[in-house]
Amino acid sequence: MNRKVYIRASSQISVQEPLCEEWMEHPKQLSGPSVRCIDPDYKQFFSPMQARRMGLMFKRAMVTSRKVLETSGISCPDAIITGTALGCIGNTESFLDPMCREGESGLSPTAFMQSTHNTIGSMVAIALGCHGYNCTYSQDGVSFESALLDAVMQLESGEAGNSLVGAHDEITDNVARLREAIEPEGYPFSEGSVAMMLVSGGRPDDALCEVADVRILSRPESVEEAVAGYRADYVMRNDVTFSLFGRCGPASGLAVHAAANMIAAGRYSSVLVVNDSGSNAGLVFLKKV
Amino acid sequence: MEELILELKNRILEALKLEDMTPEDIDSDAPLFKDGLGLDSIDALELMLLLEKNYGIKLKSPAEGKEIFKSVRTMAEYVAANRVK
Repeated sequence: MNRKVYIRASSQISVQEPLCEEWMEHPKQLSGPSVRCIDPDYKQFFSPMQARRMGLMFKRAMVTSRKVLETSGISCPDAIITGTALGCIGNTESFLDPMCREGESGLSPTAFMQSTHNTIGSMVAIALGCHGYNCTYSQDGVSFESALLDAVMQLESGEAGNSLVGAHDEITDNVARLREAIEPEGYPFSEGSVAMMLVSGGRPDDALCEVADVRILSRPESVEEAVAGYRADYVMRNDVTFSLFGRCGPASGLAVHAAANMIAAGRYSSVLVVNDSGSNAGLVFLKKV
Repeated sequence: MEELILELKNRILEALKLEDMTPEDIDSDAPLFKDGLGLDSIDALELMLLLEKNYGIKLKSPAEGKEIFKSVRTMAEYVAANRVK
């Protein structure tokens, strides 16, 4: 029999006020073609020596992950599973720009080793000393759902007892310029970082909510049919998600974070997060514990 | 020499992205690795790159850098004696 899966803790750094949920009462209205995260003061979290090899995206991922570990009381998760659409695109640019300018000799090893998509998941594991399962999913708009689905399957089957799931993406000036040129209309492009601790078994009183179902649909035209199959108090769609967090890779992860907190606050007993803006669609169904 | 030491400290801070440190925070005679500044093997590669790009000094291996990178002062002495630009 499958074990139930719960979100025990969740944390975000986004275009809304970071590392707290007070913003939910009065969310910031987004404007402009692209919006950057509101970053906390990272000097409070890292010494200059610790921060020397951390790009902004890694600092965000590390701070949200640490907060989740602290809140959940789990110091070393069984699994670290990450979703990212573009990976460490800032470091990728730092690596590729000098290559274009100066050729293939004399390239920085730091920019090289941090230019891969799985840098975030692996650096979080190294920082925490976790040697367990570590996987990064890069599936465009459903990267978060892919990571979440992996975690839920492992937790349901008992392969893992807890799992740190994250969704992280950053926007650079280059990426913003290209995206604005390709899709000039619509909600602002953005960036964000969200981490959550998923646990299985029992019925933890301190959980924010239960993750009742995760689905990824390769035919978005069948989304409405699938949505009709759920009995949710509230269906959180892309227009709401994007108005709160902008258009970014972790948008659906941030939506799940918001939904989990709304359920924990008693505003709804169940929420279906629908993410159908891309070629694939993701559905995440959350219920109160 | 002191001028070169200051220049190297600024280049080290920039290359290693030690954003919140100043040249005054680096002791010219303290070890760069382990107990001193606390740099590691990746930093050693960045320092090799720094010498090559700015002074035209190409080290054959990180092992060769062991003596050169003992401190900022030993680094400056090596640069002064071997620089080609």
